[in-house]
Amino acid sequence: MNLYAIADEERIHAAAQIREWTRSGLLDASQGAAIETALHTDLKRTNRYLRVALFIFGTIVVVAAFGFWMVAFGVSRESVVGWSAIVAGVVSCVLAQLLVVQFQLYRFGVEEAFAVWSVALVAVGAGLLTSSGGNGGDLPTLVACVTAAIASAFVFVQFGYLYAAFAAAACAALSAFNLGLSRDAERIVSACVLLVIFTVARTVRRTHDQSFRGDDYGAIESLAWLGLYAVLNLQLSLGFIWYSRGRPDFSSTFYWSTYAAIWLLPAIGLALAVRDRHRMMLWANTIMVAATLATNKPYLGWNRQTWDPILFGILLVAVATGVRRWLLRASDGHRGGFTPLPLVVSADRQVLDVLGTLAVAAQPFAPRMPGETPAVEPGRGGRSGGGGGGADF
Amino acid sequence: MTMVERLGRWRDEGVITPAQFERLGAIVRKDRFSVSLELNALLYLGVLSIAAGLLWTVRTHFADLGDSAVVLALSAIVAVCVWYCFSRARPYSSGEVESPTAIFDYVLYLGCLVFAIELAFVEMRFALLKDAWDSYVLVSAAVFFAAAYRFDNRFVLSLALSTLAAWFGIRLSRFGFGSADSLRASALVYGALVAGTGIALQRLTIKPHFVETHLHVAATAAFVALTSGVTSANTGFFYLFGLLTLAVISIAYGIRRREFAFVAYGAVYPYVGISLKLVQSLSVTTTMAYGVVSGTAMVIVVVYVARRFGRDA
Repeated sequence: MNLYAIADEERIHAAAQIREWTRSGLLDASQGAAIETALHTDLKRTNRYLRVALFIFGTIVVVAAFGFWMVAFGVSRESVVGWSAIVAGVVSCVLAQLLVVQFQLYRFGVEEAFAVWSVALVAVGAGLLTSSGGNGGDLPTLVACVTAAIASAFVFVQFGYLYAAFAAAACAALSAFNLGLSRDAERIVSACVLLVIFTVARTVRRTHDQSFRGDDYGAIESLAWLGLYAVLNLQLSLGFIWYSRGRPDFSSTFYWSTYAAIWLLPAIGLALAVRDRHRMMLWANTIMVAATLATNKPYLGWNRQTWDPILFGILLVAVATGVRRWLLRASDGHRGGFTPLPLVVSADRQVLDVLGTLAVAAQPFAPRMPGETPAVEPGRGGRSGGGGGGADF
Repeated sequence: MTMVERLGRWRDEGVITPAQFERLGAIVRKDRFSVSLELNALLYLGVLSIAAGLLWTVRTHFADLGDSAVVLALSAIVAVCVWYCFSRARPYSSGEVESPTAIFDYVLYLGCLVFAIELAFVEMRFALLKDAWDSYVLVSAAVFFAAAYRFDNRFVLSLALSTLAAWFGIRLSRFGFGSADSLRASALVYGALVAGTGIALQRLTIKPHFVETHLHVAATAAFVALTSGVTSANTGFFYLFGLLTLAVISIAYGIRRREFAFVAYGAVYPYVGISLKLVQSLSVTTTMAYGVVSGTAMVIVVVYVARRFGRDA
């Protein structure tokens, strides 16, 4: 089913590892070059920035072509728009396949845009066709979600795009919210769907351990686990996700069961991640722990305090330094193979450099135009005067 | 074939040594598993969370706490951070310097963030510099730049760049289309200054590895400013000319230095700018046709560039 030969993909992933090891000094430059030459494939690739640029331009082509069809031929009837979208989606998918088969493109951006938009077009088309058939309520959205899940899974199987698998899992989970079930039941069904995806991905991952496919299935497994948590943590979505129309009425049993779940899931997940040495699961469960701590007070109906983030930050720093010291104190600087020292230095540094550059978004000063004066009088309170309860900076 | 099997083959063929096989095999089999990145991420999030909590607490409770208590507390945190950094720092070097301890970079970052909060509080409460209040921001930026270059810290460098942007009246995270001409001019001066400083310091071999951060921030500010100005009634063509000139420079630099992010900037921003200008006078149908033709043309051009220059994955 996959358009790429497994041997080619294995070589590409092996070459990427060799590059990292060479940059980190684990291999000499001459060794790295010799091995990389031997791992050459005929697939045509590009770097990530041009890949993004090509994805953007590919998206413009697909969207503009569909828009041109709609406008030039005055397509306005819902059913015709639906069929047009489905046909456009199929054409887009065929074009993506052609680009891969004919031109041997691999993660080149343009074929990815065609494949991704084929999913969106087919899903929207299916939803519109359902709606045009006189079906109201949640059914058109349900059909669109299910279609998107199937189409995304198809794209993942054919092209191997990991984000297509993520989309498939997300759409499958969202489908449960359009079944007309009670608030409790829709979350239980959604959680069950994600649990099934998690179990399947985990089983497949274990059979592909130490291969690049294993990494992909590990990522799907982790995302499904994270999604399961997100669905069950009611405080994460209240008043935030478009599904919550006002404060939903959850039964007391369900509410407190989910409270137990948001503590249990990260604990179980962390245990599995440590046992399997599964990095993606480690990340997913770290996020879950942070989310549990952040939503604990709202869950219990307690007021948040302004110093909560300080305590949370101190906890994170304490855990990080504590774990590091504990691991380093062991003989050879590791415990059970876990070490706080980087093994592939370049990979870690690359991520930290990106994080460092993105830190430019942290701006402690709210800029004001020159000449603008402060909002409060010196030594006094804020706009509300006196003690300055309303002052701000 | 799994990676372990490949490593075995390379060892048998003599491409890698048995010692390398052992070391790399341990990584692939996960006999050795590094959590360095995860611990760094926890430290970074922890510092951000502490700083955000301090800001929230000071904003909410400064009337109850009193000015002296707030200033003393914040000063104490800054002083501890400064003491830690100067007592642990390695001697200055113009090259890349490893952090002396695992938490060193984050202590410095926390100190800088708290220093910024304290200055903002002092400015808000006491307005010592009155109309020249923005000097606080400039002083902060200067302090952050000095700290970033002295201690070789990319987080603090980014903080310095964003603080300098604040001084220029730019809020990078919210800057978008429809901004006033004055803001665009500020952004362009800011971009030129940041890029110029980065390149000059690189030529002087002072922390040359920082130049990329300088150039990315400068390019983003300048491209966004020029692109957003293209649709201006009177000055639109000047912005368009500037945008195309910058695109040529960006693409040439990107290809020469094999920094393909700049090639992507040089392709995407001018396309957006030209398209914004053109579609103003086009009907919907023609706009769609333009999208198909121009998008296809750009795909062909970028594919050519990618095949000719940017084959590295």
